[in-house]
Amino acid sequence: MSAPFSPSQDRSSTANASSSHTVNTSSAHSANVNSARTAIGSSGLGGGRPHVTAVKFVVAGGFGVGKTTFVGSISEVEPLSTEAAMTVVAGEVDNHLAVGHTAKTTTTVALDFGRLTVDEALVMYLFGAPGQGRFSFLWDDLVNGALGAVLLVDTRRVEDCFAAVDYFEQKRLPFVVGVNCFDNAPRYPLEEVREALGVAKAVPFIEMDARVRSSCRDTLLVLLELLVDRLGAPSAI
Amino acid sequence: MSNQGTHFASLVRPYVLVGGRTSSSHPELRWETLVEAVPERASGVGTSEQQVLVSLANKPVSVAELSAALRLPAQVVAIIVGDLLDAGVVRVHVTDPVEIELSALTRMIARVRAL
Repeated sequence: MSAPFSPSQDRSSTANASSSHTVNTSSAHSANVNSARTAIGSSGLGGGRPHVTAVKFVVAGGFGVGKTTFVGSISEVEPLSTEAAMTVVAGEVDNHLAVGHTAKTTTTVALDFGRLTVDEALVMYLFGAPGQGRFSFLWDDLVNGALGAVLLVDTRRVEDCFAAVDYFEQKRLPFVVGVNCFDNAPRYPLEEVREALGVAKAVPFIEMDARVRSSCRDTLLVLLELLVDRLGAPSAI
Repeated sequence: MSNQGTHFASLVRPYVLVGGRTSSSHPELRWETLVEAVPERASGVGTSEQQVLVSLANKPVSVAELSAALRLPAQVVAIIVGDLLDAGVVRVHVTDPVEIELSALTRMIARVRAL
């Protein structure tokens, strides 16, 4: 285990990769309540020790809107960074002409995430997710299994959130909108921001400041309370 | 935890580690899925990144945290975890989000309020 490390090396890579873009909108275990309650190994090992539930939340928004700050405000550890690989077919339209060539490239995008331990049986994870449409390849993985999302909006760049709004609505992922108040940004009434985003009245809007921990906490609480409400009316959107 | 991580990605192209595969045969392995080593089986691992992964999973740790520590893409980690699951070396704590009940949400709210 004495792996040499070369920090300067470029870690984006190419691979002879077939498409990994699968859509998983529901768990394979939804029909089996017991499987959701028991830690399983495919060989049937591992009974006896307690099940730990991990839940995921997504914090989405454009660059510089405060996603990492938000994640860091909630996380009990310094935000960690993972990366997601993206397989793109280069020149998709002309690909049939490139017979014999694997015209695919894998690039990676770094994502920050944090963890908050609730108790010995429950852990929350928060993942920062770029909201612009060109990152939508990530969202299936991120949203699959997520309980809900916080969408952070910069009123100077509302358009960075359009694709995320469409996606969350399509996946019926509960979300709240945090309108991040930047010092030099124009203030708009929340209803105007809601109209600009084209978001239904049922979606909570909160004016917040991602630099302030209590503001992030309160925004997440609004999402959690929305989830409590949804338990009573699961089909509401 | 991150002190234990080594930098396989800089050593070998990530997908070479998993034989060119790009998706796990275990769709239940999500980024937040918790992985835990099965102690009595932990000696049965082969490659060095598998060994590091198993040592990091001495308590439940998510695929994403393993990805951060190993500096490998989350999808690659999911493939490695899937192999270890097939070998019985690790187990996973699968959570179905539709099974999250009011009591869990109440505990989350209390925890977040205490921040």
